[in-house]
Amino acid sequence: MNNRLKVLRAERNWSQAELAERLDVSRQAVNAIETGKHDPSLPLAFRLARLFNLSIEEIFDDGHR
Amino acid sequence: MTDTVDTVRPMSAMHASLRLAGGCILGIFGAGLAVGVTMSVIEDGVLRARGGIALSIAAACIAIACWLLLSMRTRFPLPRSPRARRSRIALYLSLGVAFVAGGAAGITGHLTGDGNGFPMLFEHGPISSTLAICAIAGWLIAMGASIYWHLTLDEIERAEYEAGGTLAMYAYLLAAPAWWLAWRGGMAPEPNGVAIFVMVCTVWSLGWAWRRYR
Repeated sequence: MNNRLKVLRAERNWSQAELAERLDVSRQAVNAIETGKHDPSLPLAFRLARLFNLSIEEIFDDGHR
Repeated sequence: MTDTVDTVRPMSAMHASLRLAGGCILGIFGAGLAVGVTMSVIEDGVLRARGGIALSIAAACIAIACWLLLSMRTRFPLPRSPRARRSRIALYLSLGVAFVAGGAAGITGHLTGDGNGFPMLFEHGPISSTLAICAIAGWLIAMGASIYWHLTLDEIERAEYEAGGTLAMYAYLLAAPAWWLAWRGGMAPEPNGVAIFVMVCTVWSLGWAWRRYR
């Protein structure tokens, strides 16, 4: 699944470690989501959406829109 | 733009690897020497000058190993996320417990006449009930630490372990009955529980590594 996480993070000048701290996950987890190796669970997707003040669809794209 | 590598790492990878390897080798050597001298003192009932020198060397090795490993803190800082920090600390603690338990098993094995206790645990022969009880107790502590560690993992890390665990389960479901049937059919030696355990752990580790680093 494609996502805009790296761009959104860069816009706020956050490092992966900073984003991981805000989400309470490991830095490797942020990297795995950014590179598309792992699709986050719904609760984590909601946490991401709230953190960036966006909807889930504005962060993640499953290619069916 | 913020890069994917987001920590400042003044120490080169080669330098850090050398420190890590040196610290581990010195630490294991020092611990082994200390256990050997301790067993000799228990056997003879007296600490001779030669033993004292060896013990000093062991202490120096362990001290240098601690210094080398502690100097790596900047290279491997604790994660900032509270959950990941708890997980990393639990991992370091369990490694420390395993290190101490290995030394304790060595001494216990010697005291109970089982020989070199730690390797004896992985052989397919009888051991004394004392060593067995100590080993089971150590295993229970390790399992407790492992369960706590798993509870602190985030969903991505847990998924990596579950992928390895699923592969390991199928490896067990394939190997254990097949070996048992092959033995009954006279085509293989009697099934060895330790060999199956090691195989399952190896497959689990490989599955975890594949999922994590693919």
